[in-house]
Amino acid sequence: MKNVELYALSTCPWCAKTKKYLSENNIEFESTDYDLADKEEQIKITEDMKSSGSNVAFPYLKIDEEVVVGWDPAKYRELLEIDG
Amino acid sequence: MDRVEERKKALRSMFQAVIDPLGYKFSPDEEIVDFLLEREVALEDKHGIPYCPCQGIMGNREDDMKIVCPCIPFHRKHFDAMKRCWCGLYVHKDVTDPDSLRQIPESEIEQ
Repeated sequence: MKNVELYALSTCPWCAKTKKYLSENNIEFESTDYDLADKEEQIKITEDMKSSGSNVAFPYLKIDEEVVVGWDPAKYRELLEIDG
Repeated sequence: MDRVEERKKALRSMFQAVIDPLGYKFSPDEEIVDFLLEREVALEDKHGIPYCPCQGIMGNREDDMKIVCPCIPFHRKHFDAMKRCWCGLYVHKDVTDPDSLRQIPESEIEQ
């Protein structure tokens, strides 16, 4: 089973779409809303994002070692091996 | 009209004057425009500034000024490549189908 972790913003509609997509496809995932996290957690998140060469833009989805920045259902389907 | 609706209307006309000369318009997707403007009013209430609802506030002026809506001028190459801004509030003037526009990571554009 793939390790799936999402960094999101509670204000972002594309983040909400990503959460919905993962839930509807029965994908277990961990999700953190950056804007609701404490400062320490926010620093950890931004450092993680920057370490992959990304700016601090959401949704930011980690699937095992792969990273998908932005709402990209085609990429999610490919990396999560979802049919259809 | 309640305060939030009034503020959304004010932001809309203020932003229109900025994005028009940049070659952008509000997305034809009225639902997402309304949703995003509402989030921006809430962000303005909380932080005093209508930040982009889809980019992270870092707590320092240098980074955060680049995500004050409309943030197009700070991301011109990236957004022009997508024909939309990151959160999708604005699209290029010739766009009729915003759903067809992919959110392309900035790192993909730089290469």
